[in-house]
Amino acid sequence: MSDIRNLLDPKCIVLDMKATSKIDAITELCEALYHAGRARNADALKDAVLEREAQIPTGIGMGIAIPHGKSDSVVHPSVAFGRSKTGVDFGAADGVPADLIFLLAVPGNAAADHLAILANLARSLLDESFRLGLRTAQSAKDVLEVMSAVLS
Amino acid sequence: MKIVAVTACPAGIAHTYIAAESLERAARNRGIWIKVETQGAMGIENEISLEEARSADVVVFAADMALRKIERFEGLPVVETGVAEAIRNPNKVLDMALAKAQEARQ
Repeated sequence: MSDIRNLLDPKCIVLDMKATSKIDAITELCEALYHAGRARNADALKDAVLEREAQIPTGIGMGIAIPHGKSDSVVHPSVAFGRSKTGVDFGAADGVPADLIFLLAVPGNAAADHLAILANLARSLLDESFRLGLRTAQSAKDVLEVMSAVLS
Repeated sequence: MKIVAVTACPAGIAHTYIAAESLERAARNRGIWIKVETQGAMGIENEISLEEARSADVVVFAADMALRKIERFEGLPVVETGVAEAIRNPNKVLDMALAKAQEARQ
């Protein structure tokens, strides 16, 4: 059954990120994916994400950033979610630093249903109640519940 | 007034779909008919047919890369913008589309 829990491992939910810069934030989330066994190589994934980030910054405004990358080092389509107390500058046009960061990682040949979940996650980011749910979540479990509720 | 639109972004995992959602929501709020096709990692979704293109008043290309199958939109007034603009300022993009459509009528 394809749902967000296939893509978002609780180990990849960082409720209080250490990073304060964009590169450090991307590194921190790539490493979480690596440690959870979702990527074989944190650096290879990081390079793919940074390359994409250099093309067009992924700060979409509203305090959200969606760095993402396609890499064959990715074992399974994945989402890592990080929350930052200080906010991280992701170049958003509204100038608001991102406090909600979603790193999306897919292998070169990601399956359609997994991509569909990521597309739905992306679309859901426009829902204020979704963002609020993520901002007030107290635990990784809360985050998963918020995501599942919106994405099922 | 009918607007057709295509969104597309390299990597095509996220921005493509957020831009589509953003345009769709803005149009819905204003009671404007819109159909948004996405050209992303899943290929072409919500594909605009030739008939739909022909019966539209204007096409919006919100894209950061070359689009596929744009022959469908030949003859339509065009608004070209980027994915980021569609995400951030969907109403402005819709206004540009409405203006282009008006212009073409005169």
